[in-house]
Amino acid sequence: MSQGTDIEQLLTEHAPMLARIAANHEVNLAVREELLQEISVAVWHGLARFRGEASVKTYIARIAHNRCVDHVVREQRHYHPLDTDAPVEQAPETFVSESEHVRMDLHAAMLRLSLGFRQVIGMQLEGFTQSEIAQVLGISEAAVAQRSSRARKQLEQWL
Amino acid sequence: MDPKLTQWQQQYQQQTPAVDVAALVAHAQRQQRKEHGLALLDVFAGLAVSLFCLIALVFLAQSWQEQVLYAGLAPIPIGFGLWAYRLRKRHWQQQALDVSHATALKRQQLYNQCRYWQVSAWGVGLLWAGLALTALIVTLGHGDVHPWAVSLAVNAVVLAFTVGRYRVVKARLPLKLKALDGIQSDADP
Repeated sequence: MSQGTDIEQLLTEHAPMLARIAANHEVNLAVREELLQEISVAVWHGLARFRGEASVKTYIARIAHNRCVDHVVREQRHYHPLDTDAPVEQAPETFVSESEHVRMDLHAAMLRLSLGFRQVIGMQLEGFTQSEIAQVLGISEAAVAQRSSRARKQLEQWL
Repeated sequence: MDPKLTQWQQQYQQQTPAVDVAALVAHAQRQQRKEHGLALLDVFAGLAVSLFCLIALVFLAQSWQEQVLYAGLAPIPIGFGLWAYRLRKRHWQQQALDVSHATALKRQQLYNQCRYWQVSAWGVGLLWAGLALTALIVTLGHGDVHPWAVSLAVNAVVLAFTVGRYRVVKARLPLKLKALDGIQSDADP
């Protein structure tokens, strides 16, 4: 893929998804911002080498998840997946409504999931198919289905 | 798709964190250029030092010992620069692998990172030793030792930093490997 405008457009288009993936791996706002920046740089490097071996969205998600795994390894000393007391970003003003409480619960519940479950359910909520999730995570579709089913059961319990 | 998942999907999309996309894109572009620049700097810095060694070999060496010394030192900096560049490029390519494969490679990268600093420490140490030997030869030959002493002092700082960094990376390696093990077992309960 050519450098410049194309990459800029793709990064702009997928920035909200990248922000959600970062939010699924880091609860601290300031650190999450840094993580998002790191992901964006990695995506830029990656898109410059993109040869159409998968859909662009899948390719970008793969890079983002890899950066997040790197982040979790690096921040292992401070990483507590069950630390739901950590500050979670306030919903923007326009989204404050009667359903806000439920949405915050969904995010908090997702953060309580183990990383393997969180990755699968997060990608399902992004609209990826089982086959695409299997491609991103490098696991079989059967494993995706199994993790998804278990993750959903846990979420339903907590919500 | 079942209604429950659809409902969660809507909630999930709505809770997207606020993001300044323009600033993010600008940062990514700037950082990507910077990282490419640093990668090239590794190569050019190595090339410059190797060229200096060759110039010294041809024009400055006053004895066969000095010639052997410069000839031995010349390939080290450029070799190191090219090796570091290749390592960076491979790292960028590996970012696009699937997570399972990348996690396995991450383990290798942690070892590589440790080896990078180990090789750096040895490379800088060899250069420093070469400089020290040259300074000794110059001193014994009653030449002007001052410029060599300055070079030795500057390189000693670089050497101390490199060795220090290597020791830190080496000390953290077991903890990071343990974290990777943790992630893998976490992903497959």
